[in-house]
Amino acid sequence: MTSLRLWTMVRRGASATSRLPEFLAILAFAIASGSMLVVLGGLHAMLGRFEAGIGDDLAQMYLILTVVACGLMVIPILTLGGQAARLTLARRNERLAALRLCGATTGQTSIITLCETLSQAVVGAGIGIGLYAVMLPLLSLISFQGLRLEISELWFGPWWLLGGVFAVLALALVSGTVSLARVAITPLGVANRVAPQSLTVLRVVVAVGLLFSWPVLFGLLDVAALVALALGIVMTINLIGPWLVMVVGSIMARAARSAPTLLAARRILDDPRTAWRSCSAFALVIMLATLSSYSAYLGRIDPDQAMLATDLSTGAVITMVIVSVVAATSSGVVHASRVIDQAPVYRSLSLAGTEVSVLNATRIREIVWPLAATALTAGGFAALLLLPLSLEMPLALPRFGIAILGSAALTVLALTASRPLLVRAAAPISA
Amino acid sequence: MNTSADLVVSQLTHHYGKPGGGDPPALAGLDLTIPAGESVSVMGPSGSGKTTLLHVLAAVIRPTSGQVIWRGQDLTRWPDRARTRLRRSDFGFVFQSGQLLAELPAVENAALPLILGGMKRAAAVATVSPILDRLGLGSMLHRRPGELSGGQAQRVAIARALAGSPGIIFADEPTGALDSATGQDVMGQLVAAAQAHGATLVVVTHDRQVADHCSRIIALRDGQLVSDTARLAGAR
Repeated sequence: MTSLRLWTMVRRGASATSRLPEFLAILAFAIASGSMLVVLGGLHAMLGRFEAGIGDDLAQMYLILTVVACGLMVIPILTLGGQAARLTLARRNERLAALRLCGATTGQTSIITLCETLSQAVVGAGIGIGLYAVMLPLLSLISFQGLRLEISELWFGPWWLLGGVFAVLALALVSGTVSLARVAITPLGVANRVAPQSLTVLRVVVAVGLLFSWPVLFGLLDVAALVALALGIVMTINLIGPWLVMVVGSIMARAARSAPTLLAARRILDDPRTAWRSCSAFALVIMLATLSSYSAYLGRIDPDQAMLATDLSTGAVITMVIVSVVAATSSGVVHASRVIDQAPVYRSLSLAGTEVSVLNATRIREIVWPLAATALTAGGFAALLLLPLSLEMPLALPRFGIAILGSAALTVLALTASRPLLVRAAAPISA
Repeated sequence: MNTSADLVVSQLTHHYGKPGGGDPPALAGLDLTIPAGESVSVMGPSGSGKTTLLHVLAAVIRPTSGQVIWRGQDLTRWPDRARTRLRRSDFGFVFQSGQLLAELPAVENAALPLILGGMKRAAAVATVSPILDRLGLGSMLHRRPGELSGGQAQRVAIARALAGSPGIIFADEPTGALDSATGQDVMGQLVAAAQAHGATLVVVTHDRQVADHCSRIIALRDGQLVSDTARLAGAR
């Protein structure tokens, strides 16, 4: 039997419950694709304006800022796409192990895995194209350089569309292949090839070194190199972040007075990289909210820069919204799939007398504590930067607070959306 | 410490679908008394109602009709929250696959019921450490489930079940995922630990060798009690 026939046979027998992980993956691919296309639309619009000479002396500045914003948004979008490809890996791998037991080869199970991932990516990308089409009229309400964005500017034609979709599919394929390489699917079950790696202080040293390079190299590099360095420094946050989250987890574990806090702390320590993913987007939102506030301030003190300042602020807000939506989707989808994967554990805990509210409290603490740590550190630092502004602009700090609280609330809301899944997972199995 | 008490079941019936809907009942008019401190195994083929009986006795589900009396109270009348609290405080559970949390070390897995009940982590760990030590896991307190063998993981699960000094321990196929020799060892330790703590033990199993560890064997078929055999004095 060919791999494709084997795959369709397995899919035919899938129940509604086992299709839920597929739905989550498709949702994640849809949001990732839709966001990617919106980003590409914005880039296309500003590229067109640059080529048409709109903006005069500032045209190049606008283009560079657009490229930077796109770069900032692409990272969480690609992360979401990668997560979609790896969703409910444990459950899928168990099924594949059963196939191996029946005589399917490694090659066949690999092809089945990749077919599943690609099919979800294709459906998700199709929905993403629909989301992008729906967003076009809304995006055309936004103005840059004193001109509203036209739908004709935002629409980049079939080749860019295919390119964007292809990027998501390629990501799905690569993530699926990489995740396959990390497990050995044998007839006896699934064994992880690679043990989880611990995080060392070395990454903090590297990140701090890069951060200190900024003032040193600022006067020595050209604009393009500086933009690249700036993006690199933003990425260094992803070096420090997981380590910081690990430290937060250690403190939580030592100070834990309740089971939810202890469990949440242990989960964070078990996988600080995953815990950091919600926070990395949140840290980016804090940075963008700060930029937005300072841009507004720039417009007030220098009327000649008013339009640039307004556009900077608008761009920062748009980037913030996209990053927040993508991050919330990522968090919601990952935690929902974790509930599905860990259903037997939740069921046994519930049977043993653990209330669903305790299990839910664990999940919320797992998200909220690292977010709170990020808010206190990055947000606290940003608030200090904004303090001088608050004299001239009393609403700067409250506006900043609302922006970051809103972003955090969206992430927590996405997590709580999977509570019904948790209740169902924890219920005893009826015959 | 919870003292054990008799568990009395009267005219227990349970339907998963609608009564009279055509499907046979999972349990059909069972009457049973399990004296305090006894070890009972519940045997029967697949679909005989073993797990349903265990879930009803453990107050996980309410039966369609009948009574389950524990410490003079009819558990079938209790609301869900009260039954959840009861399972946490009075009962212990051992499942086929242990169901330990991968991110917690062995000692915290065993201490989890106490921590969930509000005990401070340090005190909970201090309470369960001797139990783990008696089960031969004294040197493995800080190992995670992934670093334990199947038998060791099941012994952590036993320690978890004993942590709150339960009146009854319910075990559902506790050796199902273990090889024969390890399963016999684990079952022996489970029965001995239950006896040492003065807890009643109810074990669901399809394995006669496992059932032989208990002082009484109940057999079910099609939701009905077909035999109830007290083992001879040589029973463990």
